[in-house]
Amino acid sequence: MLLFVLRRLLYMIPMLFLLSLLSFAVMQLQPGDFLSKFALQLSQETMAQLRERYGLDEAVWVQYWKWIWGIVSRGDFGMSFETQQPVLAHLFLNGDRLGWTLLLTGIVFLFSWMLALPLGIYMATMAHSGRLWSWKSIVSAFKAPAARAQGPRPARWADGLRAIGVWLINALAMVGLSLPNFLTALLILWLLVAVFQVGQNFGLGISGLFDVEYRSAPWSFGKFLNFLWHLWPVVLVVGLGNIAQLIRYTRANVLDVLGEPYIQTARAKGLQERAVIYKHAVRNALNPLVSLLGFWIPLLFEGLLVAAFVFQLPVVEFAYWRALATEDQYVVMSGLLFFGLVLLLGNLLSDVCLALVNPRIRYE
Amino acid sequence: MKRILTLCLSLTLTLAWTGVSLAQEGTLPNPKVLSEDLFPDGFGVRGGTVVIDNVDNPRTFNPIIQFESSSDAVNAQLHATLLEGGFGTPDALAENFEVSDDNLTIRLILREGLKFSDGQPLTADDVLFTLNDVVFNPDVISRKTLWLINDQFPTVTAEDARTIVVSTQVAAPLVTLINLTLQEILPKHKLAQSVHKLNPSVPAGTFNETWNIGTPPSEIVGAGPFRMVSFVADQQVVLERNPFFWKVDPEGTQLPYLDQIILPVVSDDNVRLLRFINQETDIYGPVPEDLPVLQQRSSEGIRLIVGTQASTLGDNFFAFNQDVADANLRQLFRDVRFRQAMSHALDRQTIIDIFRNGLAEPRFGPGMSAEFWFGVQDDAGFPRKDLNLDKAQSLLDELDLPDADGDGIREFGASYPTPGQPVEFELIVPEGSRVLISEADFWAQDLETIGVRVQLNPISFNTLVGRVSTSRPADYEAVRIGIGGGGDPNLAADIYASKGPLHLYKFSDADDADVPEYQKQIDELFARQAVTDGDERFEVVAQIQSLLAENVPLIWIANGVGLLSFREDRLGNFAGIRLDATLNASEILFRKDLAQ
Repeated sequence: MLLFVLRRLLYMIPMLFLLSLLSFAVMQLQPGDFLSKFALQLSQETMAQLRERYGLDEAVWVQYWKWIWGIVSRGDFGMSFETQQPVLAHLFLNGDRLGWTLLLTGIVFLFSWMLALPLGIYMATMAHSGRLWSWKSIVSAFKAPAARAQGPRPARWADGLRAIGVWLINALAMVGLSLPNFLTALLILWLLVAVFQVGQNFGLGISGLFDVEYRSAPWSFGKFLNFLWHLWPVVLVVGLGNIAQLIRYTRANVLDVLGEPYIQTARAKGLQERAVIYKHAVRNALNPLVSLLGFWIPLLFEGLLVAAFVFQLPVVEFAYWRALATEDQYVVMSGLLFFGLVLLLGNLLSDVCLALVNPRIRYE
Repeated sequence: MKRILTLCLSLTLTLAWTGVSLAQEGTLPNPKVLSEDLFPDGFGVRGGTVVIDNVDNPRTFNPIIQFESSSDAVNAQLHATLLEGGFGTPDALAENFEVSDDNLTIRLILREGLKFSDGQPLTADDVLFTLNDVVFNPDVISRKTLWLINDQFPTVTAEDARTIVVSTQVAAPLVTLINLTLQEILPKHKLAQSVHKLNPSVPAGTFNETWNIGTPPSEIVGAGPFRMVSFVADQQVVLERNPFFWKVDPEGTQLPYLDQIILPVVSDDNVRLLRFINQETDIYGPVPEDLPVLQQRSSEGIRLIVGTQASTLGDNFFAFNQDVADANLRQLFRDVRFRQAMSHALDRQTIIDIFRNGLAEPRFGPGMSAEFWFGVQDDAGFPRKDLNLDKAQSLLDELDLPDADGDGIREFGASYPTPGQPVEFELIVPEGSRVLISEADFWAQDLETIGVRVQLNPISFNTLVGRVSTSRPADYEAVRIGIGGGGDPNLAADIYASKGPLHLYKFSDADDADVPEYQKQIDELFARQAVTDGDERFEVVAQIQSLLAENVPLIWIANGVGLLSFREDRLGNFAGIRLDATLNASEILFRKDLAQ
């Protein structure tokens, strides 16, 4: 396993190098550059001075070579044209962007999986158990006792409640998958402001991670509560779509496994239903989900961008988006390397986790 | 007594200098006492905070190298200039100034006892440092070209710790005085070590990286009404009152009244509006689409100010490239009758009504009517080329542009280099703006009715700017664009003078090749207005506007009226602020709810 991990880490180096070339090429294909938007404000002499200062007057291959050599030789990812700061400081350290990004991504990840897995398992077991309302079971409830024995189990009120529960979860999943994150975010804000009037009624703010009076204040219980107030819309917006997908994946995988012969064997052996489901079915159903981890983490980063834009979150994605908009090229290229590295590490993580949960998988 | 030149600044009426000297307890020996008419809601009490969303993170805290509004929103509160407009008399850090009889020298006297926000004295040394070592320094990326008079910088010297002398080779005192109202005075004790000229141990150009957003707030020092407390990227900037500020109200209370200004970073327009409605912010700059929402909420303490005159800065226009490569189009665009026809075919009022909710004024020349200089465009006799399709048709008929094939589109006649070609041109528009594209399309439809076909082409803003302003000759046929700027006529020379860097409708004028007569007159008039004042300058500027309106080198469209909304239940003296200067008068704002 260790050799496998080391090998995968080494493979990342040429991958990232290719990614850097690709990102640089894409940047050069864009019309204009970082200074183009100032052409109507500044004199030609000032523009020439700026172009020389930022190295934009050099040949593109020279610009790329200087940048990549800076990374390799001294870990210098270049300078942000906008803020005149080193790229790493601008992208990750300003406003604790990396810290907030990891925290928010981690919270959303945990929330999504902790909510989606149980719901997906529940939906699968309910669908499999036949303990939900169906037309036949409802009709059977009105039959004479003697006739009921020949059909499905008569419907009970508890079955109805379960059916409503499953329907609600399905609806939630459909809404989460259908609504664009951007729209969900604005809808939440509109509800808070126009309907609940949280500012006038409760003195609560929207957007950002804290109300204005807490942003520069030291941590306290009040600041923590305020953080939770600002956190839930973010988690909802970013997590909703992910939860929906996870619920459906989990439900499908668990249903597949519940139909396997060894599950029947387990039941025939007299195991309790709980043990059948959680010890045998779910454990095997999770394997494909673990392999999705590698793709899930970049998806979370992408989802956080939309929330960041609406809720004004101090995260890496937002700084990266602004760099794209302003053609701050070294920030864009370095950011792309970062996200590429996240994807590669995520894939490696999922492969390692898969080996841990599935003893049949061994890497050499 | 030397002749004192009457100062005509862009933001005020013609003013005479008055020297004021009052000893104020606990403040400077000679603070600036603001006049009572700047306080429509009365004199405030000290205390309180105002919150105003900023559209983005500031890029730099160095006012010399800032080029964006998000930085200016912060830096404008931190620094002060030698002279100023908008606060009654023009004295600011300089308590008085005088111009020599020959107009070659301006002598300024600093107020006694001035201090920066860190308590260090502000003296003539700092003024010399700011101008000679920073602004005029070739290593520093500044707007130094604004100071050039006949390609030379002024000579700036100090007679003593409070007296500065600015001398020029050519008499152009107004240009220098205007620059003195715009130039922030920087602290030498904080910044000298980053200027290579004064500290050879640092590389040349180090100043351009100084005071970036990673700088500790305590290092950002100025003489403005506020000083920085903290900046958290993507979150907010917090400013607090500068305890050494040099202005007082008529009762002698040191300004500013407010304890703090907080500028949260909120990039999304919708979210800024929601936060204002949610009572999280105190001032908001609406777009026309926001008006119905805000008008409904007047009972919640929100007051909406809608200007009665156009007051947004800058010029918005269609331009024809008179140096275009196509010979037919070049001949056509250079004919004033064609440009007049194009202006007569533009239905400005309908564009305003449909695309701007009626909140704009038609323009037929540069600037905006709310400004003192440009109000002449509203006079009855001004040569406006307003909507008149019949007139447009008849002008085009004079230009040998018959519709030979009867398809509704004219063709170039025999007098053109390539006869028979259809009269059509490409109109490039920034692709990100729905309103600009819609306006251009609206005009294009009207042009088609008079036989001129337009190929509308939305392109990226960066590409458009490159084609229009960077290429020589410019690489476009027609463009829809807006150029921001201040209202002083001298700044308009960038566009309308032959050698102006933004003379984008005919860059070849700078080579003195085939310059039309009206353009030569305009160049002479621009040179004259820079060295005159008072009524004479007003007349000269009026003549420039008449020439431009008659010859229509640009097809001006409309300028928006000023829109601002604020919490009337919280803020006092906000109504006294110019509509396009949201926070330029932060020193007189106060919290009404604290005063009650």
